[in-house]
Amino acid sequence: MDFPGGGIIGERGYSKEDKRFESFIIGVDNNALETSIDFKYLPEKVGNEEIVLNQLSASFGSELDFKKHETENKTIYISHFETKDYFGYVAYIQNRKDIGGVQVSTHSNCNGDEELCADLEEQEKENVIEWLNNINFISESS
Amino acid sequence: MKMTMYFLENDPFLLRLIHLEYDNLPEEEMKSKIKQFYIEEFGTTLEADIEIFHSSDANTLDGISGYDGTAIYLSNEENRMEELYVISQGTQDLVDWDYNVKSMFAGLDYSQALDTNKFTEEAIIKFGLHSKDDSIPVIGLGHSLANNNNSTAYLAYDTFDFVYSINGAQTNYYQLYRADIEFRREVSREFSLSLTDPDAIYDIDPTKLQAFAETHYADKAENIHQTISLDDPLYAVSGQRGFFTIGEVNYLETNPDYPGLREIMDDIPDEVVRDFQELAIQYTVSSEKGGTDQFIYDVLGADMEFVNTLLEIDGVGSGVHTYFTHQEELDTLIRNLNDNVPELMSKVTTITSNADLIFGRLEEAGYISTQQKDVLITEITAIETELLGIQQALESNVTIRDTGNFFAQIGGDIGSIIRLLEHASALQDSAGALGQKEFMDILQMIGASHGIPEVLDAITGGRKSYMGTDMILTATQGKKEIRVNMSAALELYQKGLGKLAEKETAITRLANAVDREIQQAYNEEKRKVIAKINEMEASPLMYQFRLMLHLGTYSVLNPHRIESIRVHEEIYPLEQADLDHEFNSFRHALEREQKHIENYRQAVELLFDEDEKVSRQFDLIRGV
Repeated sequence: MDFPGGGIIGERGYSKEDKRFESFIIGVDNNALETSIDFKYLPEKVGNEEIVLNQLSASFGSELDFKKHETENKTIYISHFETKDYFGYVAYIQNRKDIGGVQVSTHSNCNGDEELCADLEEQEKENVIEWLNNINFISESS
Repeated sequence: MKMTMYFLENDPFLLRLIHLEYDNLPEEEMKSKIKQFYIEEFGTTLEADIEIFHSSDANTLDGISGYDGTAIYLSNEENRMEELYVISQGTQDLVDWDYNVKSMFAGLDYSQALDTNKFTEEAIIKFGLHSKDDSIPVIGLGHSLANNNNSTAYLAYDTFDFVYSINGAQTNYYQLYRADIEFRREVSREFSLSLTDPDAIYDIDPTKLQAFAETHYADKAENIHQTISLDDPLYAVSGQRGFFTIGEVNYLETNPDYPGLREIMDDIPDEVVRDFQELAIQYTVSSEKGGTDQFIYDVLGADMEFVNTLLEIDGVGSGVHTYFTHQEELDTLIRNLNDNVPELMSKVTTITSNADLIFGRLEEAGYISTQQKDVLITEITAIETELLGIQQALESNVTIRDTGNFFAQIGGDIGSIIRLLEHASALQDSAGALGQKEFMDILQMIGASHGIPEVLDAITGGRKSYMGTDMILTATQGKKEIRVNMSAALELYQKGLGKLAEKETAITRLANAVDREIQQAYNEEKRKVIAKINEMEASPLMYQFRLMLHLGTYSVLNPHRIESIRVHEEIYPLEQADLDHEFNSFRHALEREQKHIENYRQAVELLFDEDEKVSRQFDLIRGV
């Protein structure tokens, strides 16, 4: 996984519990754009995707429209949202070769002018998709 | 709006059901118990089909989080009533306590809440229901840790329509901040959190954050019902580190001899409670597993049997020899101590620094005597001293070892190894003093207030009480009170009658088989005889040889031959071949046993002569 540029991981919010759970929040400062990324790894089984996506929608508070991207080793589900205060992404990556799933949710807001924020938002979209694409599962047997 | 449970709206029934989950019964036995509890508590039979699905059969779970649960689907086609109950199992084994201490209490890990949601969703699919169908109530039941799992799953993922809990670990707003995207967004907005600061939530005043969480989840809180013992040690720490109580709560005094620990804990700073709690839980869990030595092994990685063996060998010269013969074990011991002593030392120091406050309050509340308080403070201070001694001995030892100069280190650290072993041995003595029966009894008494039976006793009164999940009825005979385990009596009656019915069937089948077999054998023999007769009559010459045996070989001079054979048969009917006498004896024995069981029932009924309910329970249990 490529770490987001300018990102800071919080010490108190970091948790790694053997193989069952790993989670942390990354704060990213990019010009006028502030982003918080919540990242979680869980030993999710292939086939659980529908339940996990429903759970993410329930947690988000309304139905999310996930777009699916498949590669040889993983399946990425990504949904964009905008609220009055924030925009961001809710995503899920399923390891197709072994147990493992990553849940990611981002919240961003922009303090710049409209034009700058539009650029930054577009840039953020590309960054997030690229970042999600770069998350790879390392097989224990490899 | 408070939800009404159609099938199981009865507190003692629900508590017994939640307790039953810990027994991990096979499906059919679980169904049978549910039906029996229903008869005992409602006085009528459960008019519903029961289907059961256990988390160990769930495809979506990997078992790593330690979540255990059972889904029970009740349906009655005639009344068109359906309900799904999911019992999440509470703190049961070491994985659960490990989860409690390291994760759930820290407010970060919520993997069991995620598994609760996954399991419930799979159960919905398994029973052919639709998760979006709001007409079928999904009810989460749980004790202890299970309330944290169920409530968190409900608040974050809408897993349930209603949550019912007993002595539950509470939900935690730090945990929900991570589990519930909407809550995280709303907290960030409400408190204008900087998105670039990942730990910004910890800067919010906990009182304000709790108030916000309560408002945010107010609607859902109406569907959470909790019963909490004021004496439950888990309740004592429910106001710490992000935990907050949500829902309609029925507080009970279950141990009137003590005031409960909550007020004491509220007076002690958060981090002190955390260290005290972690050590107390670890001590209890380890001691149950294997006594004081197990505790020392679990917290320090020191095998005390090995330490004591080494100490039995006298002198430095022997020590050098021992070093050569046990180098690997010694290395492991020293490494483990080096890794683990600082953490334990830090916790013990927190406790010794606050010993007067912690143990003074426990003494004031009557949990411990002045003498016990003094022993506890003395021994914990002694443990701190020994840990300090180990730490000092380690400082030289591990550094020398890292040089890799084996012979140099022999000369340098044998003395400190012996000192280290002596400190470990002294620590074992102090830890052992804490494990004496009177302290374990206090822990056990406090622990009992976390259990379901104490609450069951508190919510029922009169002649009804409970022992485990069994219902006890008390009858009064003159001045004497007679306690009858009604659950056991009903089970004995039901199983006894069941066995007798099985015996009766077996006797009937045996009688039929015997009749059939004998008659068949007789018919077969008769058939063979007649066949032989027919054959002889049809082919008389075939039997010429028999005549020759008596009259010699056939010739002109000896012209005797068989011209024909005619058999005048008389075959008697089958007589004296039945086993009626034996079977009658079997049936008499059966009747005697039946009478015994009915006498047993009557004896119980007589104790409660005015109560038709008892008699009805015996009638109903026959049909289960």
